[in-house]
Amino acid sequence: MEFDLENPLPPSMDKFPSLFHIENEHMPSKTYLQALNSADSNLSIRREIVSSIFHLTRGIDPFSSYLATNYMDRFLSTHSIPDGKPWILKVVAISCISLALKMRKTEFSVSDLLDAGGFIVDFLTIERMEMLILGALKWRMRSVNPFSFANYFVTFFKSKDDSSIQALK
Amino acid sequence: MVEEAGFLNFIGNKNDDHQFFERNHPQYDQGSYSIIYRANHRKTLEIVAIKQEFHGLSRSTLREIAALTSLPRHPAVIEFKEVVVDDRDHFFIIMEHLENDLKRFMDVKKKPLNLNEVKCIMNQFLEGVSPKILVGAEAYSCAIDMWPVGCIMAELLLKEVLFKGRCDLEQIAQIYIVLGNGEPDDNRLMQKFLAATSSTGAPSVTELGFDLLKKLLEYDPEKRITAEATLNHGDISPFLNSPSSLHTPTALDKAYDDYVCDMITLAKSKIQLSYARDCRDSSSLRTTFVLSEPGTQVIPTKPPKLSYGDPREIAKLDRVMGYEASLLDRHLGAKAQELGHKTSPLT
Repeated sequence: MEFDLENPLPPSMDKFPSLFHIENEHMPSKTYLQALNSADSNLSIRREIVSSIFHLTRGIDPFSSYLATNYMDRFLSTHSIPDGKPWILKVVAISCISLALKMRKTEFSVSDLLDAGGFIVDFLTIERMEMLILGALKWRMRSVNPFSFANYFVTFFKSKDDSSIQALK
Repeated sequence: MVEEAGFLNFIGNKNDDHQFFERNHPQYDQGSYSIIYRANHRKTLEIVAIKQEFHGLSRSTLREIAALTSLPRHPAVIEFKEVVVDDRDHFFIIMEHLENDLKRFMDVKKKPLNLNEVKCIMNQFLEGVSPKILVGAEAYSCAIDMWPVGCIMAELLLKEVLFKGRCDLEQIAQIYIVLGNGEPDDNRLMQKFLAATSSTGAPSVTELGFDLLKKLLEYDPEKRITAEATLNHGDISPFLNSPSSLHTPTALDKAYDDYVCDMITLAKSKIQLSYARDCRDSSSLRTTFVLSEPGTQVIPTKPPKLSYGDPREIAKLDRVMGYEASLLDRHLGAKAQELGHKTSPLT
């Protein structure tokens, strides 16, 4: 994400209430946490996908990993993953990363990451999963998430020392 | 790649009546990344545009749809309907169909547009990017970038793309050629217009109109005129102050009646608008490309092979376009090193 510490104020402050409102549309369903806690398998599925996402996106900016995780949570809150098909978890992880990278201004594509990680996947499968995820997320991919508010909260940090601002950067 | 003729007469799952379109036009518009068909909904007979992508879901299409779904519905913004996948895993993006778009309109018109036409189209554009319909729609704190609007205004007047470049850096080079390197140079831009007036009979732009164009094509995004100020600018406001005149052609000079009718349908043809809006994206830089081939994908999904630049150029790019170029910088830097080049092709 872009942190402009010298000039942290966004163009208009009055946008924030509406951002809070829009954020609700980019969150997993309200029962998601309950569903996760209700069965150990749900929790371990999520853990495994998150770990794949972070493994593959290491070395890329954390916002891409976050975005992929957000997509995954929203997807899992409407779709359950069938038992006994561990490869699906990888496909979900890769598809979420692929979508996140397409939405970001990064020059990386998911195939670069897969090459680097020594993965071999069938791209048709990834495409199908992308479609499934996009449908579940109703194509609302411009996620509003805590990063959107970071600039706003940075304005509350008062620093007397310019060097600490440099360090934060 | 493209399927043989004969396929695609029916799009969608045949067992599901709701998602079933019948193609009624062989091929509408083809680019290197996608093809666009015109089709009817089998039951409602609604005419829609269907876009098929060849190589999976491209970055630009994903971003375009994500931008469209984050906007409230508005007559000036093209409507994204749905995506259907057939049993062969081809997928199709269903959008509102438009008989005309700006490019086609300009192609059909032999002569350059006259000033009133330009103003009228500009007005419809501005209606689309006006803060009114964007309130609550933009997910990111991002001022609406008026730079592409300036490019489009110039294109309407000149009847040609203002900055012709095939990749980002070529485009930047073109911007420098037209506007000057550093502080924008009025004379160069003015000369381009004078040349166009004498050679193609393009309308000579008024002083007020030129002033607006300059303010739209301001390098510094902080100083660039806002959508709101554009609406109040003297060159545009006479049209805006009487909005009803836009929708009742009789209120305008009779000679323009036909054009005005066309232009009202044009207002609905702004698929490009989603690019113009997405101002944090480098697509806004390429708006002129998008305009030159509406409905097709001319935007490369991979960066051009030989693009590299020195940090000064990158910083300028950042300043010109108002977006963070550091990612591009990183990529270009690596490329330059890999190629053993130290200088930029621009210097």
